[in-house]
Amino acid sequence: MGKKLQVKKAVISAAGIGSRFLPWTKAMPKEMLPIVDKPVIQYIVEECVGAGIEQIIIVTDSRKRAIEDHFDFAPQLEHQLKKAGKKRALAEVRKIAKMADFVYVRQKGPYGNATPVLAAKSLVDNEPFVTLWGDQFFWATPSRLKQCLAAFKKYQCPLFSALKVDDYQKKTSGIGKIEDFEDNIYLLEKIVEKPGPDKAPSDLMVSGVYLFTPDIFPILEKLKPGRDNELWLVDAINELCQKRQCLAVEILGGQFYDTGNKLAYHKTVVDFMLRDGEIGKEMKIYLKNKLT
Amino acid sequence: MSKITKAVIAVAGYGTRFLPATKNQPKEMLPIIDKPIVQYLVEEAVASGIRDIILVTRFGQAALENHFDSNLELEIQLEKNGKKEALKEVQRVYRMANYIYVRQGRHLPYGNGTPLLCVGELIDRGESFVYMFGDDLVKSKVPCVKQLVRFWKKKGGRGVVAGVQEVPEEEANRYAIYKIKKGTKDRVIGGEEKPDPKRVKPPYLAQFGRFILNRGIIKILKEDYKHGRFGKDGELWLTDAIMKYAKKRPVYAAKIKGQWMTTGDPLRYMKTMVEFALSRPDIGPEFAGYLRGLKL
Repeated sequence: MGKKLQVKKAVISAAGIGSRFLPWTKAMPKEMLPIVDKPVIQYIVEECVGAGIEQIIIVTDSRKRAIEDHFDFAPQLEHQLKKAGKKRALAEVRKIAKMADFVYVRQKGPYGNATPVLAAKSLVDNEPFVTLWGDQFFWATPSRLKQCLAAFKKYQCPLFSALKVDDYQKKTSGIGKIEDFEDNIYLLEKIVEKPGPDKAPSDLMVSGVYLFTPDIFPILEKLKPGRDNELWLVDAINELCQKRQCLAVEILGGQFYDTGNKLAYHKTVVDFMLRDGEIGKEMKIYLKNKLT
Repeated sequence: MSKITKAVIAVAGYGTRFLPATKNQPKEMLPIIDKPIVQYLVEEAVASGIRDIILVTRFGQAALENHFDSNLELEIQLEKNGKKEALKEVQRVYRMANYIYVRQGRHLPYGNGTPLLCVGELIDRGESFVYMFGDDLVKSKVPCVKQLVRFWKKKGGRGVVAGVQEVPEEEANRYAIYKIKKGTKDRVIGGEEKPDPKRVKPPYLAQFGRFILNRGIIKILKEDYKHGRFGKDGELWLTDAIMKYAKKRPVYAAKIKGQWMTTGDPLRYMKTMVEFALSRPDIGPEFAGYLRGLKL
């Protein structure tokens, strides 16, 4: 066997209106929703960088310029912070731009969550890469992406992060039809979208990190529109599963955070606030009083 | 008595405590549920009869101006997707008022009086206007600005009015605390920004970010700036200008009915977010259930 393949590129999908957060998303991308003081997409980028990803490819559309500005230097602001002696804030602001090599590509083509992956084709070339959603992240040690990359190092095949879920999420997520493979790793036969608890083939939601090898592109290029006449990544994954071995990696020791709808977003924000030492304590006292 | 039709909203702060989220947007663009903080202020003003919204902004705040403008691309997409309600909401944002933007130059001093240095040309002689701090929100039956305007009219439509609420002693050093003239209910004779609570007596009437002002106040601020007369921490404070004004003309403290919430730092912003989320019919009950399930 030749040299082992390494993942150095991540494609983060950040296109779409974010209509659940309108009117806030009128002028701001939904990926910029703050988890208290940090936009959600920054958590995702940090997860990537922490796992050794060097190039971050963000797939955007015309309304997402704020993302590009966020991962860039901000000379005027930096000047003001320097003048005001706010060293920590200054370092924090500068760090963001230097974290990775950021590349932006505009999405073209039909609606659907497979389109952004296709948009990155010419940039990922002949390498394996990961795709992540811009509005979901996972808090785990080691990180979700690190766990996926460790599995890839061993098996060198496409794989996807997974999580055990309850009945409610079986109604709203893609559930894997799986076979045992090794500990927390499963052979993925296919993903069934929103099956509900009765028809769910397992209790494993397969979603989050999608690690592909370049053989996904011929499938994506020929992919036919599915439900609602949109291009679905799950349809491409299911085709890939028929052609070659694909794995689902159950992420251990972590917590899944979704910011895709208002309720999930508020839960996420409160959880993060409670994690924070001093402020977390005060928040606890406040919530206790509020709820009694 | 002239009518009040203009509100000045200060959104030129750096929001340092919210970095990096505020790297390229003012902290007033941070969301409460699904609207930026500043939209709640605009809606409060509009519900109180205000037509012209003057936003004092700074560099790097294009998102704020775009928020209150039309967005044809988005509107067409919403229409195509049949999202009628979302479309209506998006259009309502730019139709509800006239938006006027003034930039606060970075050469100007820090302080909550500074935004007023930039709006002098937009206020007519003899005209009174509403001034709002961008990070104070009030949840109330009667919009806070409306309460102020009513109060001001009762006082003959003259002078300066500041919205106040009583705060406990331990919080007195966080706000500007007003002193009321003996024998009157609401005539202000003194006040101090963030005083040592030992030196001021109860009741602690804290000024919060809602005022009715006029050119007299702007004139005082301009003079102070010109002669380098700054207040606490070398900043240009509105309270100092109001106290100077009070020596010659009437200043009243209007007690505001409602829940006053600030969003100026992460903890208070979060509390405000929780308060608003709990009272929203679409997510409130489920969110309350979630909070009760937390191990606190």
